Amino acid sequence: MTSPPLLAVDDLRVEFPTPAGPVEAVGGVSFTVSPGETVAVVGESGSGKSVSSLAVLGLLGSGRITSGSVRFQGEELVGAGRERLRRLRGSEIAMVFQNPMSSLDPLFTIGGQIAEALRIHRPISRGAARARAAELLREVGIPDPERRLRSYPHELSGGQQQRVLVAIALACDPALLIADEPTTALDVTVEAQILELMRKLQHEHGASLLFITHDMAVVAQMADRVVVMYAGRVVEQGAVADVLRSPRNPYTRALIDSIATPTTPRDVPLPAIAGSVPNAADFPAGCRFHPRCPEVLDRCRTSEPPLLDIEPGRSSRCWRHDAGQAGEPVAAGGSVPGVR
Amino acid sequence: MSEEQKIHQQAGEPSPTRRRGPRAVFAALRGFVVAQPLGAVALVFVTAFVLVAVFAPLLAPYDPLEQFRREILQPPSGRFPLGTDDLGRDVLSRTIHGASTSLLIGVVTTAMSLVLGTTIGVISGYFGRVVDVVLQRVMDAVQAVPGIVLLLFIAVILGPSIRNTIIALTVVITPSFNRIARGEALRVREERYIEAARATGATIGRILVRHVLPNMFAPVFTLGSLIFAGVIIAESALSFLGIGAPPPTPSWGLMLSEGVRYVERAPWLIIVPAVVLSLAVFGFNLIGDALRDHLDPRLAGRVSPRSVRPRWWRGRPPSRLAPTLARAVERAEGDPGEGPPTTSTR
Repeated sequence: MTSPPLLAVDDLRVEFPTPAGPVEAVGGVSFTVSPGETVAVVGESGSGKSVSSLAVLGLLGSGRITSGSVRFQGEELVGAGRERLRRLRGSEIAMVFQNPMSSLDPLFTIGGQIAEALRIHRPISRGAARARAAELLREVGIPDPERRLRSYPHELSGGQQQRVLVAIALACDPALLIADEPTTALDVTVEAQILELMRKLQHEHGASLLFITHDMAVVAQMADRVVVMYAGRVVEQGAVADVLRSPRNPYTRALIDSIATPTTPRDVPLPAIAGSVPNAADFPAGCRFHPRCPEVLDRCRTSEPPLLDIEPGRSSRCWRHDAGQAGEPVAAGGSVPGVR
Repeated sequence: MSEEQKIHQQAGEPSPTRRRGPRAVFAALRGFVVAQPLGAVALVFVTAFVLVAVFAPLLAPYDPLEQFRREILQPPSGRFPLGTDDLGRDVLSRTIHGASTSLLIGVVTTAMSLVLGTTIGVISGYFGRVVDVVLQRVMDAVQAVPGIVLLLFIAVILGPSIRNTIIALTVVITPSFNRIARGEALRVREERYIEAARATGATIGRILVRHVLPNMFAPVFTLGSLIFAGVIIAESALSFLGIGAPPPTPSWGLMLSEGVRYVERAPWLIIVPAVVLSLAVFGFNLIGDALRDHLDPRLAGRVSPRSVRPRWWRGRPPSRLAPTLARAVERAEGDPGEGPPTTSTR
């Protein structure tokens, strides 16, 4: 990618206060999104992927960005004023949430809510906003948009509700669309339709897409590049085709192995990663994945591997890259050139 | 597809923007009456009360202050349908005008404390932290003083008048609205659609006014109608104690207090205002309960007890009622995990 990135997140750290003291949910995450590109952030629940995306919008609630930077179109967003962030939200960076039913205000019509998204950022009349809302509904494939404008959220199916949320997100032609597990609450056939729709609209609007998901199969369908997160850290990133074809990090490999494909043998149980993501208050020493890692080394228990550039545009966080193949930089401590 | 779109563009253009207007109001009213028959009865009471209060000067046969000196303490008759009091004033006219006094004090007090309490509660609940602590301690302080003591204190300091009664009652009642509004704001602010509104760049003011307030409308409004009944009683109590509406005012509480002295000679002097007061309060309480049941989304989803009843009620001997009833309750609660015991192995 030679063009300057639209979004550059660098060494982002996010803390949440708890009765037992602050807990770091995201610990030094870096990634970039180029114009028009789709970047998927994958990881299990609790890996910090949603928190990272909310941090971009400054919507952390009680959480706090302790260090790092978020640059959007060259502008630093960490420490930017509330009003500046508010103006960016919805107009330049829009978000589609996981649960479409609860993301729509039950008391207002679909039309009213799309029109509201427009009127927050643009000085247009009620009538013009309505006309544009109908246009947007048609664009997201809702039949009979003029009538649907007057529907209330509960009168729509889950898939249609998610289409409406996509319409709201696209209302002001944002440069970046953040989708936080947009299809998790939907069934599989509807999921495919929504993914298709998002891909189509992203191309038509020329927007970049930051796609948060836990589903590797969705990553394969949607993304250009993938960022794999585990326990608040980036463990591997690279082009989707490369990462999926030859995952270098044991965690990525384990995630990919647990996808069922048509050729998966039916009599063998699908492999699963033993255990669960550690609590952010109590991350293990050394590599955070070592208690669950099938390829654990002694070294992994005591010190954490850095994120190494293993190929151009490809990086992974594992001690195995050290001892392994030729051509890989040898890491010592954390002060190695190429370490992010 | 394109033909369809054309048709909709032609047909859809002049369509109204929202479902509003008299038809929507009528539909909502019909829904309420069907779902809450008791509430509908109360609605009739309350409507009658409001109409009487508003049109009191037209309905009352006499001026409520006019004294017929020769007809003191007259029992109900053709000329004075509800009798006269110790100054020869027409009890019917005073009762009718008393409705106006009650309505005035009830509406103004409820409205003022609703606005004040809800504002404090929403700000407190939505912003939390220091704002919440400071505002809530002030409210706690007001609530810590017994209501009647506070009322007496304010009334004595300011002196008896309708305006001062309203001020005193507003101070006492505001914490009730604050409490429910704060709780609701705490609930609503965690809703996904609030986060979604924030993510579309809505200002805090817009989020509060357009999304938080409307979504907490039902419980606040319900409390309003219950409080209204309480205000009417409180006003009467204050007037009865002589610190509410000052003497010539036609007020039910004042009529009671003046009538007590003649309870043996002229019982209608206290029976009439007492009955009217009870009916009005009863009506507003019933409406409050019905509104609560009708507007609460958690109750709306459930099967109402009335639709469960016929299943076991039809000519079953009492011995067979219990298990059937238990199953009916299970169904009504809609818990799939606790199905009929036939399939359960646990």
